[in-house]
Amino acid sequence: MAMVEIQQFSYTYPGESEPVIHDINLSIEAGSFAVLIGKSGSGKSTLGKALAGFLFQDEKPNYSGKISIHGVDMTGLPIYQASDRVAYVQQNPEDQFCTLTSGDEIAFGLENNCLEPAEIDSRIDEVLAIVKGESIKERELSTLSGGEKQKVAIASLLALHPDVLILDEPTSNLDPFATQHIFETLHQIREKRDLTVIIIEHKLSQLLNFDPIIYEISDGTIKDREPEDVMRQPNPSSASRDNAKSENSQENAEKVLQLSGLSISLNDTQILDNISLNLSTGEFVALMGPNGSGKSTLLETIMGFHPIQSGSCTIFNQNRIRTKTSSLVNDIGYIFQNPDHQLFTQSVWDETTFTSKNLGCLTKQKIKQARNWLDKLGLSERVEDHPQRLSYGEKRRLNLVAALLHEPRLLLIDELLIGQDLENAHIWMFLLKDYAKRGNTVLLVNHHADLTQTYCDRVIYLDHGSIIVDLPTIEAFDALARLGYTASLPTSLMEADNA
Amino acid sequence: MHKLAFQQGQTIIHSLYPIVKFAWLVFGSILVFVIRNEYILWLLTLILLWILTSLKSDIWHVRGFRLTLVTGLLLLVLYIIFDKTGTLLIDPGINFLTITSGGLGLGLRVSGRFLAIVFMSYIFILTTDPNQLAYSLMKIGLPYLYGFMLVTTLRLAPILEEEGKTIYRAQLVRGVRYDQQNLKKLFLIIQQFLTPLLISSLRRADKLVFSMEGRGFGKYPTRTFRNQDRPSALDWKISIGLVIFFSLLLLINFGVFS
Repeated sequence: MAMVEIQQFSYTYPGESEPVIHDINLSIEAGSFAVLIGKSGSGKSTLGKALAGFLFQDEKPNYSGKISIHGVDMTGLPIYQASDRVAYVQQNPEDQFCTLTSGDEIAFGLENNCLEPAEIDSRIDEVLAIVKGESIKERELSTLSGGEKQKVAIASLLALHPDVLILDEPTSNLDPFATQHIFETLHQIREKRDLTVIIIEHKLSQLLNFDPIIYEISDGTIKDREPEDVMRQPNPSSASRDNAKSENSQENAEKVLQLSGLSISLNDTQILDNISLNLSTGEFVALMGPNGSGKSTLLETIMGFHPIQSGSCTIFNQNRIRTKTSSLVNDIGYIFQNPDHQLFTQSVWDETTFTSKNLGCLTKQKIKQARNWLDKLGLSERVEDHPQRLSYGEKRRLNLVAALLHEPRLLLIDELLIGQDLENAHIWMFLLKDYAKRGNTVLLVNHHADLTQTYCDRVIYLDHGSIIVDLPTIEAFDALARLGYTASLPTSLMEADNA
Repeated sequence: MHKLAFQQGQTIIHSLYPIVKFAWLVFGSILVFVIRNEYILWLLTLILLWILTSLKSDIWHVRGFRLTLVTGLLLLVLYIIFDKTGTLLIDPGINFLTITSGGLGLGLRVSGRFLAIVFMSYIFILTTDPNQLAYSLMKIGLPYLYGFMLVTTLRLAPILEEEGKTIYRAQLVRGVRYDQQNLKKLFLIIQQFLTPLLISSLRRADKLVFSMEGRGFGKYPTRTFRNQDRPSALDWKISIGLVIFFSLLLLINFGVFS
C-alpha cells in the first residue's frame, strides 16, 4: 500500500469561487523523497496543508475527493490526531515555535503526548543527533541562526516519529550554506528513518543529488516530472557574462552613496565592521552573504535606522548623520523582507500610489506609469482588491511597484525573491536591471547566485560584518570560488568547480 | 535606557525555585501592609534597594526606575504637606512647610510600602525566568491551556514589538509623517499602522495554532513535563531564614522588645 494516496482531490478556500487545486491524483510510496514544485501561488502549500490535515478544521471545508496516509482518511481527523501520522514544517520556523528554548520546543509535542520525562530526554538527544544539533540543546531560540532554527523546527516534529514529514519551503530564508546543510540533513533523516519526505521547494538544483521524485503543480493540477526535464529550462547564466560586462561600464556615473570605515554595534554586538564602499548611478548591485552577516543591518543603516558609531556615510552628497530619514524618502525607496509589514491601505491601487501621494508627486504621468507597472506584473485585474487578499508573490510585486512609482534614485531591497519561482524572479530582476539602466541605483540583498550573475553589475559579499568581496559580478564570483565560498556560486561555476 | 527583564545569573536568588520566589513576593507584599512602624519599613526598603543594586548595578538606567523613585519621594512630600496631624517637628514659619509627626510618619509608611513592593517586584522579575515560572505554575496545577497562554505571550511579545518597529519604519520610508497637525490624518496613519500589525498578529496566531495542535496540543486533558525541577534544600533554608527575619521585624513592629 502507498504511504500517501490522493484521489480526485479538489479544494476551494473560503470566500473564493474557484478551487486552488482540483482533481489531484497522487500516490507516494513509503520512504520516498518527493519534491513539489510549481509557480508561486500554484497551490503547493495548499496541497501540503491538506496532507497534514490542516485544511479540514473549518466547520464546512470546501473540498472533494480523498486523502489518506497509511490507509487513514485525513479529511476527518482533528489536527492533533492527524499529527500522529504527518508532521508539517512551516516555511518560517519563527512561526512554528511556541516555547523559548530548543529543548522545550522539541519536548513540546512529546509532553503533549504524555511521554515520560526520561523518554522525552532520550528522544530529544536522538533527534538532535540526527539533525547534528547536539550543541544547541538548551540554547534560547532567539539566539539561534536561521539554519539552527530550522533544525530545531524539524527536530521538534521528527521527535514525534511521524510516518510522513512535509516541509514547506524550509530553506526560503536561508543562505546557500544553510540550505545545503538542511537538504543533507533531510536526506540523512530519510535514510536513517525510512521516512517519507515531501518537500515544497524552488531550489531544485541543490536537491537533485538526493534522488528525488518530482511533481509539478500547475494550473491547479499535478503531474510527474523527470529531473532532467525540469533542469532543462533555459539557463540564462551562460548568456549573462557579456551582458553584465557591457552594462557595467558606465561613464559619467555620479556617486550616490559613500561609506567609509563604517562600524555598527547593536546590543553590544558588533554587526558591521569597517565597511567602505561606493555606489554610483546606473548600478545594479547584489549584496550577498550568509545569514547574520550584516546585510539587512547595512541597508537599515543607510536608511538611518541605526546610529553610526564610527566611520562616515554620505548619501546624495549629504552627511547621513546630520540628515533625517524623512528628508531622504523622495530619493530612497526601501522594500522590507515581509510584505505584510508594508501594506497600509484598503486597495491595491491606493497602495500603489500611497508613497507618491504622501510625497505630493502623484502626477498624471505617474498614474499612467502605475497602470503600466501593474500590468507588467500581472496585477492590473486586482486594483480594487484589498492588498491582504493577494497571494504572497502578488504582495511582493505590489511592494515593488509601490516602492518604484515615485522613482527614487536609490532603491534598497531586502530579499525580494524569497519564495518566488524562477520565472517570476527573472521578470523582477529584469525590471530592476531596467530601472538601474535609467540612471538609478539598486542595492538588492539576494541569495540567488544565478540571477545575480545574470542581472547584476557588481557583487558585494559580506561575512561576519566585513566586506569579503566587492567586485564586478564575474570577478566577484571568481574571487568567491578562490576563497572557498562554493555554496554561493552560480550553477555554472559550481559545475565547473565540481568537474 | 533599557527595559526591565529577566537576566541570567548565578546568585542565590536566581537559583531559588520560581514558585518559592513568587510565594515570598506575595507574602512580602502583604507583610509591608502589616508593618506599621515606618522605620522598620524603610529599613526593609533600603535592604531591598541594596539587593536590587547588587543584582543590577545599572538599575538607574532601567526604564521607569527613576520615575518610581520620584513617585515614592513625591508621596512622602505630599503627605508632609497635606497631613498636619501629630506634634510639630519643624516650623520654618510658613504653615505650608511645617512638618508634623503625623504627616512624616504616614508619608514614610506610604512611600516605604510603595517602594518596597516595587523593589521586590523588580528583584523577582530580574531573577526569575518567566518561562520557568510558567512551567512551574503548570506543574502545581495551573491548567496547561492557560499556562501556555503565558508562554506564547512571552514568546510573541518581543516579536510583535519588533514588527511594530518595522511597520513604523516602513511607513516612514513611504512618506508617512507622524508630526501631523491634522488630527484626522493622524488617526488615519495610526489606523494604517495598526492594520498590518493586527493582520500580522492574526496570521502568526493562526500558524501557531496549527504548529501547536500539529504537535498534539490539547490531545489529552493533562500533559507531562520534561523539566522535573522541584524546590531544593536551598529553597527550604532560605525560606526558614526569611521566616525568622520577617518574624523579628514583626516582633519589633508590635513592640515586643520595647
